[in-house]
Amino acid sequence: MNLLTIFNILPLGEGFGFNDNILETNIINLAAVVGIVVFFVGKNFSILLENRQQTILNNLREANQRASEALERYNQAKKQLELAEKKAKDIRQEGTLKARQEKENCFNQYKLDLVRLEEYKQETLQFYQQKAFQQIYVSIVSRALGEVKQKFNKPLSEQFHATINNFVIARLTEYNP
Amino acid sequence: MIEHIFIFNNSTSLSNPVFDISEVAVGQHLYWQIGDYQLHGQVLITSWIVLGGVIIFTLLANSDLKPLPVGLQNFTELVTEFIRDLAKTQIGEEEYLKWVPFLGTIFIFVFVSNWAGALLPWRLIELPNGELAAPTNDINTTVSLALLTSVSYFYAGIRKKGLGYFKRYIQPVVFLLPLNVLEDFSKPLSLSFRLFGNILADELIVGVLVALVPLFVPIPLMLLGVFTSAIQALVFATLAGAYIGESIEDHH
Repeated sequence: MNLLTIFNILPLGEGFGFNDNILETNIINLAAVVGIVVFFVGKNFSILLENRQQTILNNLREANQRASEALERYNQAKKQLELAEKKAKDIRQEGTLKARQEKENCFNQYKLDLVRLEEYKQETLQFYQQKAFQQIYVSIVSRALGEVKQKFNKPLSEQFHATINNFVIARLTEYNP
Repeated sequence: MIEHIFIFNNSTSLSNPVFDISEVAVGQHLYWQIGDYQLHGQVLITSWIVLGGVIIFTLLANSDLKPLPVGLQNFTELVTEFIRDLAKTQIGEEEYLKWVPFLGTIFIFVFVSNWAGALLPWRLIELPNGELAAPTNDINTTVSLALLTSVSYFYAGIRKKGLGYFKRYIQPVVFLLPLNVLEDFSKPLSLSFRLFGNILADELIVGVLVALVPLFVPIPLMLLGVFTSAIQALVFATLAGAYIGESIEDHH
């Protein structure tokens, strides 16, 4: 069986050899079978593989697109955040400004009020002073009058009455129109 | 040529006829002697060739992984996806990922072995005794694969449920215990013999037909053999997955 001389010269080992009988090795049938299998299975497989690759490619592309979209959205959001922060800063500044203004306003108002109150106090004081003075005047006058009355009343005895009356009568008698 | 056919290997000079019968061997083998232990050398050679081919192919395809799979990587990813789908349907959503490597190894080894046996011109190489063929046409290969499956589903079940795994022997009713125990023996037996029988029968048929009509007539049967080889690989992996899934499923 071992007709191939190379394998006779260089044996693969004891008893190992190369079978070159084409019919016995069934090599034609095997070639046909391999050809058929490669043709059909290979064709289907290549289509399958191509489809798979295409699907993966599409997925990757889609994912990339989505990633870029997400990045864009992220940037937009960042911009918006910056804007909002700026706005917040502005509002805060404005707020402090307003608060200061308000404080000043209030202070001024208080000052004015204080001045007015002071004036009012003075007026009230004056008024009460005048009132007190008036009362004092009245009481002094009334006391003076009372004292005058008393003084009048004190010498008014009967004798004095009689003297006065007599005097007056005397005068009247002397009267001659 | 037809040395494949079952023969009684009565070349040994043992006087006891029982030993003669126990020496029933399928075909001729290239025996390698290691101590008192005899190995089927041609099976080991073809297994190594198959394993080497798978390993080299995998290294070639996956050594430079890209986000967009091109060429061989695309192919290996397709195969991986196929095995993952198979594992998912058989084992279930939760635990299938752990068993993808095992099922993938079994499927790829069996598939490549079967197709190598069906498509490669092994007979170009002549051995001192026996001849090269698919590794899966030897009962030792298929039995070892089946026993690996058995160990795997025991491991899966015990890891998931602890000793509670053995409750399934008395479920749904206690008197089914013998049948359930028998099942553990019949599973690897059926797995190994199914694969072995299919592949060996295919090669026998092709061998006989080639001996009778050397040209073109065996081609349809060889094509059928290619088909059944692929199916057998799928069946083996699917059943291994089904057994694992069965052992980790929860009985309610």
